[in-house]
Amino acid sequence: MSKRQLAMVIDLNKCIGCQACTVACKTQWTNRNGREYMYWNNVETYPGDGYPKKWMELGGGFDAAGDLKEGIIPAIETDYGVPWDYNYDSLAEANLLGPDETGYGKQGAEEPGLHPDREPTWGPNWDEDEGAGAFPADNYFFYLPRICNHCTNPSCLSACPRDAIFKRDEDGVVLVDLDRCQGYRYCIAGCPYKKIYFNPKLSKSEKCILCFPRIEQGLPPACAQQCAGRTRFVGFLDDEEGQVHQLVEKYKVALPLRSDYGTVPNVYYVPPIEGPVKYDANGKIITESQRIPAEELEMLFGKEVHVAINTLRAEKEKRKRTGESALMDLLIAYQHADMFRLDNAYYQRVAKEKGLPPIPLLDDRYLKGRSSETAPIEVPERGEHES
Amino acid sequence: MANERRRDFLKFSGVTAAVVASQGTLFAKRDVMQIESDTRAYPNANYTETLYRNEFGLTRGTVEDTGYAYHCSHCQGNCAWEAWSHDGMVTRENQSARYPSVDAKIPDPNPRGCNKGAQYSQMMHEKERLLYPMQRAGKRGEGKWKRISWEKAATEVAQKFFDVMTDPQRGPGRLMVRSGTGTTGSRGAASSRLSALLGSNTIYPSSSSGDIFSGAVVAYGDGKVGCTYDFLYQANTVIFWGANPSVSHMPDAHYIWEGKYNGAKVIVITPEFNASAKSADLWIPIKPGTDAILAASVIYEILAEKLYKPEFMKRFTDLPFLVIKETKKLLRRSDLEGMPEDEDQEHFSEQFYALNRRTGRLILMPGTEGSEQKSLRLDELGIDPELEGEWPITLHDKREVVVMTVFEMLKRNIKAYAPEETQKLTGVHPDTVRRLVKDIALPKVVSITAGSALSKYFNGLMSIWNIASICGLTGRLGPYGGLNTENEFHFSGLDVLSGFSGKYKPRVSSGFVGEFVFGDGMKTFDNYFTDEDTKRAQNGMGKREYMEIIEAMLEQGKKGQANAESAEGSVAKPWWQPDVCLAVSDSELSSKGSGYREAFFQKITYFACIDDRLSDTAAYADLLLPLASDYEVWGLGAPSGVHRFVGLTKPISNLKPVGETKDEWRIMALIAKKLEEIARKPENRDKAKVKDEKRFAEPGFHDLTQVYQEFSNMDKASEAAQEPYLGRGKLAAEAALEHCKQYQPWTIEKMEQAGGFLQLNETAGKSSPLYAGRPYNTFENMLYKSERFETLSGRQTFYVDHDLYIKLGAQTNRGMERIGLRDPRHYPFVLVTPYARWSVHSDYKTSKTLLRLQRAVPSMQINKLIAEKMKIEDGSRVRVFNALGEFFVMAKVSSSCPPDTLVMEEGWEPYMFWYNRGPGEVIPSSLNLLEMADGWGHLRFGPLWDGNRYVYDNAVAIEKA
Repeated sequence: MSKRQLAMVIDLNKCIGCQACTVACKTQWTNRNGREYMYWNNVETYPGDGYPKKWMELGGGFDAAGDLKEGIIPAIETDYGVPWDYNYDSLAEANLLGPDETGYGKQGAEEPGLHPDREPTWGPNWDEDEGAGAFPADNYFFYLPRICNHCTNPSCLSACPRDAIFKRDEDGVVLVDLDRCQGYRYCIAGCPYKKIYFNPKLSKSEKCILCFPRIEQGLPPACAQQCAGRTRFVGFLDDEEGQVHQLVEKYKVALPLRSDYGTVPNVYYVPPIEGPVKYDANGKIITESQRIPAEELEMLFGKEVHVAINTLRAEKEKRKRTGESALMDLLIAYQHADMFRLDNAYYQRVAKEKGLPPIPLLDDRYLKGRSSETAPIEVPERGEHES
Repeated sequence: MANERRRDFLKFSGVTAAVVASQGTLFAKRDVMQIESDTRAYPNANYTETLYRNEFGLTRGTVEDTGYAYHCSHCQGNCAWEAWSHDGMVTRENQSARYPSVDAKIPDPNPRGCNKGAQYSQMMHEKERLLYPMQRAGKRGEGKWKRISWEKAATEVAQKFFDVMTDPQRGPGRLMVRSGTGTTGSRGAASSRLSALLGSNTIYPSSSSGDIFSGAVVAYGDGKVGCTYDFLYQANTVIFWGANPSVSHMPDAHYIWEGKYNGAKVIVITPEFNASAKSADLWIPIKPGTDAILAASVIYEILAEKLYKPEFMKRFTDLPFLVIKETKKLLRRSDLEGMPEDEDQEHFSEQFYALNRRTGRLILMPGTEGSEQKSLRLDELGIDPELEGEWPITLHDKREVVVMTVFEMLKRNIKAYAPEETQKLTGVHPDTVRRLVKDIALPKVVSITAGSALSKYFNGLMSIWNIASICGLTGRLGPYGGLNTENEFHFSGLDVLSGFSGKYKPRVSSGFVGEFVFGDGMKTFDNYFTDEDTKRAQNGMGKREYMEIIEAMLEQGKKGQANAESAEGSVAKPWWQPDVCLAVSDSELSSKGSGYREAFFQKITYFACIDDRLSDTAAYADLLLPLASDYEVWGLGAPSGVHRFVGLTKPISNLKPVGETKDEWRIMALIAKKLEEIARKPENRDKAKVKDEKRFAEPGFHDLTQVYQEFSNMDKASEAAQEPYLGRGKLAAEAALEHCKQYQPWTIEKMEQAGGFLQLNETAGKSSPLYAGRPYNTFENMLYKSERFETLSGRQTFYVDHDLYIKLGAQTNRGMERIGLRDPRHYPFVLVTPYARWSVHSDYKTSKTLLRLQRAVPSMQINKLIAEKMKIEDGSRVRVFNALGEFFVMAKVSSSCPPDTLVMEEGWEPYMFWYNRGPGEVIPSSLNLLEMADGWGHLRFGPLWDGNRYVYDNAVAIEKA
């Protein structure tokens, strides 16, 4: 076990599917150097095939005996989707005119002036908003954002024949050692979430690093800080004051995805309870009905999901009745900055112990994540907006 | 080389798609734990960690070099972003996330921002950027261009301007300078300023994009009503009618879902199941275009169950006003006392009666447009108006008539819309209607957001007017909620940028009428719509009569003639046919079909486009001028009403210029300079004073030899008046900060310190105070201070006795059907194009970062069962067609799509489709008479009282391509 564990809670009830997280991650890490096809953070519409395609059917993880299960390495073209490019540089020169050459006919040139460089067949958000069920009686969908789970028992790590995957001692972030990785890709087969990717340029595996360089310097991960829906909490699991600890340990309303894979993930989800009621065959409302089937949620989040949903509903009802609910207060998250409880002082100490140069503090707004053993540091409050 | 290698890998990976790590267990390293232990940390961590730390350092760059930006392409977002940079190049953007909280019990606004803003850095250097001025060197759309210098390009534009302005046959009215959805705020003001200075023709972009809330103007005298989104957090019921805020209002949508945790009930009424519906308590899948009818049924139920609030209605609405039963005209003071000779002073025709219960006599109601009493207070005047009943009276001309209240008229109009009667049309079960009515009428705070989707049907005015009336009957104003369209704050002093203190004014064309005329809309209407369609949508008025009325109205509006001759302000929708057109970040042609383009280019001789990229519109231009964009300029955002902040753009330090791009102010100043140079040539001097009507040019002329001086405020008069110098983006931002009252006391330095934004002060509230510590909602001043509404009656309007309204039976609320062809056998689908998640209109549509998160090419949702029946496979190509035309699109088979509807995001550039033709090919054109009506009370042409393009009101068929 690492000394401390960073974790993330994602509230699926607040996720609007805007993909600001995906894009933020893309510009922070994966728009270059052989990572172009990778989405360290993706948001898939559930139900759907997801990203990579049908990842839940591709194996990996551990069986009940603790042995690694077989896994399949997804193919770029058909499972991830090739990051198609466009003819931007020739767009201005594209002849848009059709047979009549006036530009006014019913049809212009057959080829679109701006077109992708290949026939697109799959991509990271291919089944966006499609959902399942019969329209309008019981169709449904919700958004499922996914990053590396930075598992406590990472099966990628276990699968690596080179011992080239490690879990950081100070915060449990799982990293591929880019020095030692030989690109065998057992980790990809071994990860049941398919959140490790092969970098064809480097011939090494790469994955979400939980933005540890940002975290060390006091800035939350890009996907979390930049989330317009305010769905993500980041902090140390041992920070008892923190939302992450409280949602996971105290209220038990945040649950890991597919814990049956046996890797003990450290990304937790508040399950979706906020779907509209269903309609019967005559178009009448079925009162108290739920569009999202309970068995689907159980498959994703385990049996605990029923308790979590009951707790969430009860607290929501209490809030409606009395105006009070500490749990609802947590989920509402009044101050965006409070959703992130980082600890630059702790990383300073770690660096010092390792004899490494000090880690600069980039941002002083997100530093509440001290554990009892970390000495508090002086953090100057940012001044009020004087006007 | 790198690409080569990647391709090799791809091949390899494709072949080995099913590599099975069957020996996985052999390599299982459960004993690897030893290197995780406290004592023996992974020995080689530093190598990888240093790599990633350095990489992050490069993207973050030097903190001091950080720029600020909003991405405000006609987006209400106006979000504050940091632009990170390294060595003069923007690396990425990150929300500033430093907005202050309004109230500790309400979530703060942070971080704001969205997927589109989060990737602008990636588009900034994309190869589609226009880098140099380019002149057309082939046919329009042929893709042949010649690079020219700015000097030459600006001179060409200026010469065209000079020629059209000084030609006695053409003049300023034939010049059009239009600013589209891609440029707003202090930047967009540059083209407005040039347009005003030259008296040129311009239009309101929100009308041509179908975003005018005309029904709200009818009701409240203002289409931009409602709240800042934090208000929704505290409401009891929040309804989104024809709206999908999780897609259209990403930065602020969190207030809705946090509001649900806080106890709110959320209801979404849209045909399709979307990102907001999925999280609602109740989603009502209404049939497309029947919103006016469902709303009429809601009114029916409110009346039937007596869930209305009589005391509120008496005071804040015109429901107690009296109407002459036979003529359906409001009873005016002039009816009882005759028209006074000095009506200009007396305003008898703008004073109205109610029947006072306390006295049993007629009483002139205070607060009306013509009344001397400006307050809505009734008690102190001893007035308790009757809401129900009819009475005989004798008019001034001795006629015996029966009068009845507006409320009685409303009841009569609504009688036909019992939920049982409308179910077949709307698809909504009567039980659902009743449940909706209870959720609207009973709770304390109820907010109903009417989305722009409603305005995209022919009957959109009535839909929104009906929803407003629902709010009026149930007593919803100010803190109790009510109609939410898109709130707009009030600003004074911004005229310093775009105006000349009234000295010069642009010719403002009606957006929807202008486009109808430019695109030969009448021809299309005549070819496409049948007498039956016209009658169905207009309560029996046939096609011939409709067309005659429209033609007469268009004639009246031509060159704004009728308005010029009118003594009482606007009476018709004005339009001018341009001959020379300069468009700034405008997707004028992108949303239309090829028929429109043909008509447009047959009527104009010169079309120049200023844009940062090659839009489909620009592809057909004569001249392209490259525009600097978000991270390259100084600017202040367009003030939005959904929150109280205004964004700043400030370029990063040492910015490496992108080609030869210039900002809007420098371009307009350069054109003005060249125009002045041309005018000062000896051979031009005698025609350089261009005569114009006084309403557009106070001096009676535009002096083109002074045009640059005046544009930049360097002329003598402006120097004397100490007007701020203009002509560069930063000057404009500084001038706005200095002169706009609502921006005080902010400066650029303060905005930077705060994190790239300013907070509006309390004076920004239009009809409520903008309290520093409270969310905003309109009309508190009416509710608490009895201030009058800016309407004819001074109240919320339920009755419009404009002749056309009476003729259409629409003098008060009722159901109205859409006009789209009803031919389910041949054209069974309605194509709806809601606001896009992936673009703001056509802005950002071509981003590969965003396209990779879609289907790469335009795609359209088709209901799963329909697709199965038609054997249309997901991802296959589909032909969408009707009598007007066709386009091809990728099928996206979906359970969220209604069986009778096709759902496709709006804003695609036609050049992204096969055959370079988009959905504009199948969209018919029409004008609604209720929106065309003008010259009545508060219904007078202006930025609010314009009309819409009804792009959803179509009928199409599909087939496998």
